Amino acid sequence: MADLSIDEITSLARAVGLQLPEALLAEVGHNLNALRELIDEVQASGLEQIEPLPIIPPHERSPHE
Amino acid sequence: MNNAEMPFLSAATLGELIHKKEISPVEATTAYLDRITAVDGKLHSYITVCREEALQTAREAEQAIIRGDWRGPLHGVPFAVKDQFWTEGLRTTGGSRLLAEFTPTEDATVVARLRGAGGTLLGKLNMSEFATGNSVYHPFGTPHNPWDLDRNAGTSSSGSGAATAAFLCATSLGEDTGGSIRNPANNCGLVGLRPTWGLVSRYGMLGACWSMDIGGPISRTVEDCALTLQAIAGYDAHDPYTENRAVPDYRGGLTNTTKGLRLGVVKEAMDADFVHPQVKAAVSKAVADLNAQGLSVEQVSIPLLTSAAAVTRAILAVESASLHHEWLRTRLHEYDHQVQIDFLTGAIMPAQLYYKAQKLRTLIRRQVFDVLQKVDVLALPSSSEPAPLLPQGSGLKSKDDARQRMSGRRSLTGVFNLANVPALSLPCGFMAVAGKELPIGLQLAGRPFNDGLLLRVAYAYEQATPWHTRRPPI
Repeated sequence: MADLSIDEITSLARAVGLQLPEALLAEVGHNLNALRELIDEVQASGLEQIEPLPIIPPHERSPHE
Repeated sequence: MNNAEMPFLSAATLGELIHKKEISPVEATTAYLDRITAVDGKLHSYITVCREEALQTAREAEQAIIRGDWRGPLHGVPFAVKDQFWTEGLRTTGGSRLLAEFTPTEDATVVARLRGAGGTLLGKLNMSEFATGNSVYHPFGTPHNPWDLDRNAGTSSSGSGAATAAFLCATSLGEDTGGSIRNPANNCGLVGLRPTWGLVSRYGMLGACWSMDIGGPISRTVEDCALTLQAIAGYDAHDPYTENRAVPDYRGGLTNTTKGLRLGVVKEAMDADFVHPQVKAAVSKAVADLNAQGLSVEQVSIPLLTSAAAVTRAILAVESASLHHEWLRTRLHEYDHQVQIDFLTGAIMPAQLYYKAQKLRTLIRRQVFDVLQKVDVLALPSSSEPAPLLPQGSGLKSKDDARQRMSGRRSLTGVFNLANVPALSLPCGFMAVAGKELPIGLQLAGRPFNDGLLLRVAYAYEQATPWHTRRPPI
């Protein structure tokens, strides 16, 4: 997975209404690229079939549970 | 008893002596306040000490005892809480300049319950900014480890660890999103329990990551930990995720009866190259000791364990950034440098990355639940090493530097936050580092709402070993 460039980091920030100070751009880039890489590296069989954990408040659960 | 000796009693013993009227709540509170004055200048474990309020509460507790209105084993016992919990009329900073002037108008549920149990609040404890665990700058002073002042007291409940280990409160509360109770317990030689998510109310607790945050005890003994949990556990209408079920008698469940229980040693943790050999040796010895006490031992596998740190970080980054989005726009420069980096990373993280992290969380949870079908309790190191040196400066030099910070020891604790199961750290040995003796932590984890079983196994181990009797050189 190719690293995101500084321009791409800036665009991602703009998309959520944030303007990143120039002094932080490189470090945010290191941080996000590291996290992308670490998560991308995790290979788990059947992952595409997984539905993320639903958290249901106790009072909304069936009384038969 | 000499007043100066009172802080060295366990919370349980102090509570008993107060009940018997051998020590008054005012004497106990004064003894702790005096010790805070004498010692905390070196530790910076407290952000706020509420001296006058504490003495007033102690006087009221004393009058109640005289009237025969005894509220229970924590009546008159001085405690302190991480500055992440709201306290009525007392500022709650979250360890941040952004909340330096924030004074809640009510108590967090856990604070109200400890007060209701008769406890005396001494003050608010230092912490990593907004419980992220990565901040370097502490606007209210850098917390130090009482076992070695050059070392980290653990994050993010740093002050809870330092103050409890240094006998500056009888028991304390921390909060654990990715290991923030167990890491200070590891670094400071304490008993720290991250309860089952849903057992303890989060109402009035400054949030870091809603789906993993939970408050819990950091104490010097398992019995004190059980007493503290007893006071705070249980359903709260203010927190829709608390379970409406009976709270067991945690202290009453503390027996040395562990025969027949099955202990699973987590292979991936014991094989990890990032765990120090002496830590592995101490945990192996603790497992052998538990085996000798009647627990059967087998090896179990959580294949995704070593990915837990990255998964935790991805979810925490997004959820915490969403809580701070407006301030990231308007007050960014007021955060610690590393917190700025972490929150901004979460704010711009691509959705598919976050979604994959959530899928991985589900898989990790399944793997944890699968092994907990085979065994009753899991055992592994609480951290990769004893307390490290305090960080010198912040900043990420490279992507590899960032990778390092999202890997390693945080997987050992984060795995149980992702699964939302209870996990506890207690001391299982000491290691000499640069001429100082530093504690090593054993971590135990179990099924949801089996917090009492963890306490029972921990108690049996504690009673058979001397580690909890050592005092830091401060």
